[in-house]
Amino acid sequence: MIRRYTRVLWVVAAVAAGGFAAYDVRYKPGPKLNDRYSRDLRELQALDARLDGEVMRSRQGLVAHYDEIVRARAAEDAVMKRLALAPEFARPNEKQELADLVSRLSVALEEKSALVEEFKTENAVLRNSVRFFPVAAKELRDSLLADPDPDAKRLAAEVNDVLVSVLEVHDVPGSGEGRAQAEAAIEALSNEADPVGRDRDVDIVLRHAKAIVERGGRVDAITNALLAVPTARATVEVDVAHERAFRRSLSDSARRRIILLVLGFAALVAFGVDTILRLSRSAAQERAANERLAEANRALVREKERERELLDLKSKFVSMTSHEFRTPLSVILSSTELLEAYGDRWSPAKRADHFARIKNASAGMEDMLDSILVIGRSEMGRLECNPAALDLTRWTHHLVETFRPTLGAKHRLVETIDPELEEGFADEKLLNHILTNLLSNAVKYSPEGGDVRFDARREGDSAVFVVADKGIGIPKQDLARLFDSFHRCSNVGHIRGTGLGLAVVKRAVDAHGGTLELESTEGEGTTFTVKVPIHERVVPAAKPSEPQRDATAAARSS
Amino acid sequence: MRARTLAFVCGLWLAGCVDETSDQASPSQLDLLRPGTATIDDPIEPLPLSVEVDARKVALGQRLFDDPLLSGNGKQACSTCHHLANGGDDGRPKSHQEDRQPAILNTPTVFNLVFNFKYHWGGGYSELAAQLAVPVESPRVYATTFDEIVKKLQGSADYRRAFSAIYPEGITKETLTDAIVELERSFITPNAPFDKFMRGDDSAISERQKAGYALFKSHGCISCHQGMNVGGNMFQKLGVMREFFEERGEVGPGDLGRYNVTKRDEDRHVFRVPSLRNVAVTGPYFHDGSVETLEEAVQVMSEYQLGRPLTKEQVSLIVEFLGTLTGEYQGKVLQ
Repeated sequence: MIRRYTRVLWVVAAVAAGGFAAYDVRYKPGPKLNDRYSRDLRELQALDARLDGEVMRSRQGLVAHYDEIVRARAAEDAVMKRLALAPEFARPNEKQELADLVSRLSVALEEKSALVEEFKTENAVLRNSVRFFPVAAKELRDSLLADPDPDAKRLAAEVNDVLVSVLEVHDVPGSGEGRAQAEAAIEALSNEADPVGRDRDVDIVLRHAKAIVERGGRVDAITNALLAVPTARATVEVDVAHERAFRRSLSDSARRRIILLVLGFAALVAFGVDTILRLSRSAAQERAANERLAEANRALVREKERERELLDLKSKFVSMTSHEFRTPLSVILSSTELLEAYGDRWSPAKRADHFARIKNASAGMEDMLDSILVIGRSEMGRLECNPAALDLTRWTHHLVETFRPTLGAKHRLVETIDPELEEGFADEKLLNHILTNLLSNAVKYSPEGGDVRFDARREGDSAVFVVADKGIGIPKQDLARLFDSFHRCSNVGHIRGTGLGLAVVKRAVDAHGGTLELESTEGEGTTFTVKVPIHERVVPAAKPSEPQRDATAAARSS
Repeated sequence: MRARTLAFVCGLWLAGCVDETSDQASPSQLDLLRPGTATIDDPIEPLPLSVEVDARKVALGQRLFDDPLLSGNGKQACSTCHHLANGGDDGRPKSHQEDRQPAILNTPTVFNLVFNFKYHWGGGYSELAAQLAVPVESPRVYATTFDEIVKKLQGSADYRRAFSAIYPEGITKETLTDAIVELERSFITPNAPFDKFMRGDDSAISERQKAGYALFKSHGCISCHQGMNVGGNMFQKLGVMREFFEERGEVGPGDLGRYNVTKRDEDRHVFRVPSLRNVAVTGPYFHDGSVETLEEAVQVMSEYQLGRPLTKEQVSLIVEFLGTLTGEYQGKVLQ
């Protein structure tokens, strides 16, 4: 699951990083883009300054022609066309702002352009008059002075007034007083009736004098208006807005690159994690597969073991039957044959002895068959516990009394039967299997004789039976397999037995839902303590045997 | 596969990190403001000996210029009224084409257009491409539309080939205009005797012509006829010192000049000052072609524009000087 997310993450991060990179390459406000626009703005400022300079120099009559002004204007128009295209890195609102500022700049330039045209036109006329007027006026004055007519001299004085005052207006522009004076002189000259027939010359001088006075003021006004048009400020405003957008875009670009870096790094990390997870998962898979293989091997080994045990059991059974069944059978057979042949001749005591032998052998075989049946049922999970109401005190006394006659001279049974035992629910058959086997074992494995202690008491809802002997004990190494069928302890020597007794006890106790404890010291004796529940409704379920459960568990885990 | 993807991503990222500092600054516009050759500080500058143009476009433009197919009635070409061997005009007071209304203004020359600040008598156009609409659409000239011209041209396999060889988009109003404008940019007449004189060849013009030039300057003609094109860089009213139209009477729409463009009263009778380049071969003169000879034109100008008369001798000196302004087109002196 994590693995899938990692893959999605690194793919997403990689795609996002790619997208960012492409975007960055596309819109990155490189020095190129910035250069173009900035260069145009700087150029516009230079052209504007140049235009202003040319106009002022033209005003002073210092410029030979207007071509420079025309070229500067044309260049400005070309620049404006480029400025109308907002730089690509600008956002829509920035483009809008730039467009607004550029159009404001454009309006200012158009205003200035119109003033420039006006300036050129007016200034050309002014320059013509300024150039011609002093010459014409001086020539007229001098020729009038040369005229002997006194009227001509008066006229010459007036022409001189005009000449001086007009030139003063031209040289010192902006003087209202000088201008009024010049206008008065012109007025005086034009009102003068021509006494000497120089009308035409006077007229020319007057035209140019008027042109200088009138146009001089007008050209100055135009020049001032032209210089006052805020083109420089409008250009700076565009520059500021552009610079702001450029810096914003630069910082965006830097941020994009950081994101790009992070995404790229994330993609790398996720790719690494993905790879590691993939490797570790395959390692885990391998481990699990090995585990399953080992488990299967173990199951196989257990299966072999069980098979071997089964074979073992079979062979033990065969040897046991060949031994344990043959002996009583041969007793029965020989006693029967003897009784057939000599029965009528024998004393009644001897006959009874042989009958007893037959009976004992048969009973022994029956016991053994019982034991085998119990174990067989238990193995098949069919050893049932059917508790029924039972007067345990009486039943125990009866058991002891039934057992006591089988004791030899060397043994003594010391019983302590708690009268409190009273009634309980118990399976009579199972209890019988448990106690009979324990008691007979206690006797059998105490070859030196001695007391066999038998305690029966009640502990709450349980009945507790203790069987203790002073016999050979159980060696430690045999404890593990003590309850296995046909297992016989290593110290039994020649004591005869089937190896079924304790197996029956164990299975019967389990079937009854009780516990079995033992304490034993080799050579000193053994104490078995059986505790079985005797209250009503305790019906332990028949448990399947251990190997079967293991096999099921193995099957489930594979 | 995955490694390749990763490499791709890293590559993109790295590409994004490369700074584009290799951008070479293009030659500054400011440098383009000084064409021609350096000269002494005179009010007239010589024309440059050549301008840079795309020869293929010029050839195509020339074909269009000479092709009557473009006009509405298919009878006249640009060259019908703009004779490139003469003054770039038609030598008539006003042109009057077959099936057309008579023109109200004298046909201006197509030479040295690129050095003019504005176009047409009223100065209504700042760009050659824009002014082209007038000859194309005017009922006195072609009386057609760009769409119609484009349609006609597209009917010709020859033109289709010629256009697509230069313009991937083929024949459009824009490409058609571009070719003609490129041709117009090539219409220059360098090497006038006066230009040679300005470039240092003292013997290129006679002493009388030099005297004429001096008079041209001192008398005040130079106030308006100045710069590289000896005019063509400003507006001026016809009748500055004396009312030309009041004295003449009969004011027609063609006499209003710039007023027709701006509708401002102060622009009444204001015209673009025409260039005096090749003036000796571009008569008759003035916006209405009303003056037949150069002498008369000089005299009228002196009277009405400068407010003073010229003697016959002065007029002929100036006219002789003006004769030195006739240049060469494609190596041939204009006739």
